[in-house]
Amino acid sequence: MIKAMRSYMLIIIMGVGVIVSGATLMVVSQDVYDKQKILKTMDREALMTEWEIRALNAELAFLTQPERLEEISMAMAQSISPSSGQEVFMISSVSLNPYAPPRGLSLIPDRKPNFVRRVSQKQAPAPTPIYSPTPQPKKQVEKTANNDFSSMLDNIGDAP
Amino acid sequence: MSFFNKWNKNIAHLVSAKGEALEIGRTRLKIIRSLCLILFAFIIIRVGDLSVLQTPQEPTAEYSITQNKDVYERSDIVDRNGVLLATTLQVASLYADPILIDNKAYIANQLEQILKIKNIAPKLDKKGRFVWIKRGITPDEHYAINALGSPGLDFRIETRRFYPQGRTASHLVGHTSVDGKGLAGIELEYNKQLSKGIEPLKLNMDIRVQHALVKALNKQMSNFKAIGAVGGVIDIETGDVIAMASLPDFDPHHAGKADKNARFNRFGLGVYEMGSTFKLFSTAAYLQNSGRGFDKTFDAREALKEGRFTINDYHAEKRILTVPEVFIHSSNIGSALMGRAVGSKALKDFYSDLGLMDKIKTDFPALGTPLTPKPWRDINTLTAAYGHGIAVSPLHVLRATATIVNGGIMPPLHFAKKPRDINLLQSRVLSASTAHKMRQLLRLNVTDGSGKNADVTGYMVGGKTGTSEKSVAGGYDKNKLLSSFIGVFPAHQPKYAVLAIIDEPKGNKKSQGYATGGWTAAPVVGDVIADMTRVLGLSPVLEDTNLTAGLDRYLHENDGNYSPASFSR
Repeated sequence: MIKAMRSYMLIIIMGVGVIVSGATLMVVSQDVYDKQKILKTMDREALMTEWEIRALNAELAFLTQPERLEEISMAMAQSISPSSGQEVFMISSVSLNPYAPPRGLSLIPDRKPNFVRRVSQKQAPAPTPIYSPTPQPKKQVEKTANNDFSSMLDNIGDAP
Repeated sequence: MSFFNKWNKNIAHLVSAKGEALEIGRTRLKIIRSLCLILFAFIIIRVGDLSVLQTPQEPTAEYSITQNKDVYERSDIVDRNGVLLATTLQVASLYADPILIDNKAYIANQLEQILKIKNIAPKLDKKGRFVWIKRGITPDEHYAINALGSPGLDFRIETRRFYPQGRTASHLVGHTSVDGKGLAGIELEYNKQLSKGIEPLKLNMDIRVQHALVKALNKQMSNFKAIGAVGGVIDIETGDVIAMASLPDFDPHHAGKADKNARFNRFGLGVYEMGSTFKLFSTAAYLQNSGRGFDKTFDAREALKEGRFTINDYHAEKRILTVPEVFIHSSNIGSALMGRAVGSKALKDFYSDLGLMDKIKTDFPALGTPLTPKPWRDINTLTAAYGHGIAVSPLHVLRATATIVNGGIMPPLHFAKKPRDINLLQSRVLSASTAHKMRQLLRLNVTDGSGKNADVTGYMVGGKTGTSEKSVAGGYDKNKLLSSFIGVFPAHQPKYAVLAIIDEPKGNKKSQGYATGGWTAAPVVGDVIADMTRVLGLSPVLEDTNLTAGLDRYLHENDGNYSPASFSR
C-alpha cells in the first residue's frame, strides 16, 4: 500500500499544489475584482460629488452677482442708523484737502469735481447740514424670478 | 492428486484472480486520475482566464445610465479673480416606455400637473418603447416624478451650459448650442480648448468692472432713450480687456430666442464713424509729424471749403485757435486743417500704424473690419481728421488711444489670460514727447473742455468727447447721433482706458436738449471710473499740476457768448 502510494506521491503532490495554487489564485482574483468594483463605485461617487460641487459653485456665483450684492449692501446701508462720528453739520468741518475723507466716512470718489475749491474761492454757503441723520426707510430686496437660483435652474433645461 | 497439488492449484487460481482485479482497479484509477487532471486543468484555465485575461467589469445595465452622448465635459470659464462665468451642470430628461405603464390616463394627468405641460396622454399611447416627455427637468420635478413610482418612466442624464452672471457678460462670454458647441464669444473662440474639459479658462475680464460698465450704460440708455450702447475697459500697459459691453444684450440661456438686434455685438462687430473722438488721433498725427508744439494756430473764423464740401464747427469759436483750443473746443475746421498740414499719406500711414485701418487680430471671434475711403482723396484726409468718412470698431478706438497715451507703444489685446510674451517686439508708433503732449491735452479737455462730466476727484481723468451724425442713404441724419467718450486715468501715467458710446440718444430736460458725447457718454465713463476705484482699490493720486499748468498760455477767452452746455460736441 505504502509502496503504491509512493509511486503516486508525485501525482498527489502535484494535485494538491494545483488545488492550493488554483484556490489562492481564485481568492486573489476575486479580491482584485472586489477592489476594482469598490474603486469604480468610488469613482462614480467622486464624479457625482464633482457635479454637485459644480452646482454649488454655480449657485454661489449666482448668489454673489455684483448686481445682487450691490442691492443687498444698499439695503443694509440704509437700515443702519448713522453714528455720531458720521454726522457733519457744518460745511467748515469738511477738510479742504479733497483727498482726506471726513472723519468717520470712507473715501468715496467725488463725482462733482472742484466742489471744495469752489466753496473756498467763492462765497461760503449757509451752514446747512449736508448730511441728514434722519433714518431712511429700510429698503427691501425684492425677490423676483431673476434673483432666485431655482428659477434660474428652471430655465437652463430650455437650451438655445 | 495429492492435497498439496490441489492447494497449489487453488492458490494459483486465487493469485491469478487477484491480479486481474488489481489490474482492473489500476485501470479505473488511471481513468479517474485523468478525469481529475482534465477537471483541474479546466479549472486552472478558467481561473487564469477570469483573473488574467478578462478585465473585470460590472454588468452593462449599471453603465447604461451614464453612457449617454448628451453628457459632455466642457471647461468652466472664470473671470480674472476666479468668479464663475460659465459652467456645465447635469440635468435630467424624462422619457417613457409606454408598454410598462399600466394606468396611462392617471400617469399622464399626474405628469401634466407636475411638468405644467399639456398633451402627454397621446405620447403615452404610442406603440414604441421610447418617447421623450420633457428634456431638462428641474430637481423638484425629478423628485415628484420619482415619487409616482411608475416603472415606465425613466430619466436620462444630460448636461447644459449655465451662466451664473446672466446677461451681464453675455456678449463677451457668448453661448453654446444644445450639444455644448460654442456658437459665439469666448465660447466660440476657445471651443476646442473648452471641449477638452481639462481646466477652467481664465479671462482678463473683471465681473465687477463689467457690472459697473453695464449699469452705467443702461442708466444713460434709459436717461437719453437711446437704442443701444457700447462700452469697454482695457488695461493700457498689458492690453487686457477688463470689460466689454454691448446693449441691448440677451439672456445666454435663451440666445436662440433673442432678437437679432440684441444678439449683435456692437463692441466687436459694429464699426462706427466716431466723430470728434478721432481728433485724438489726428492731433497726435499732427504733433508727431509737424515736430511743433502747441503754438501753431489754425484759422477757424470761417467755414472750410474743399471742392463741393463745406466743413463747419458745431459750435463755432469763429477765431484763430491754438492746438489745445482746437482740441478742447473740438473744432472740425481746426482738425481738418491739421489733417491737411499732415498730408494724406502721412495721416493714412499714422492711422495704419495705430491699427485703425485693419481688422484687429486677437482672441475674440467676429471682429469688425474698418471701413476706409477707397480711393483715399484729399477731402477724405480732411474729414478723417475729425472722424468722418472712416468707420472703426470700439475696440480699435480703445487700442489706438491706449497706444497714444502709453508712450506710443501698442499693447497686444487679450481677452483670455495668457503668459506675457517677453520676446514680443513692440514698435513705437509715436514719440514719448508726443504721447506726453496728448496726455496733457486729454486732461485739459476734462478740466477745461467738453469732458468735465467724466472727472472723478483724485483720479485725474483725461479724455475726448465725440458726437457724430449717423450716415443714412444719401447723407447724414442730424437726428440720429452717435455720442461717445474715450477716457484714460490717471492722466499723468494712464493705467486704464474706458470707452462709452451711446447710440441715438435723445436730449432731455436735464441736458437742456443736448445729446452730445459730453452729456451722454462722459458721465458713463466717470461713473465707471468711480466704481473701478472702489472695486479695484485704486488709491487717489495728487493732482499733477505740472501736467496742464503750462497750457494756460495757449488758451484764450472767447469774445462771443456761448453756453458751456453746448461745447460737448
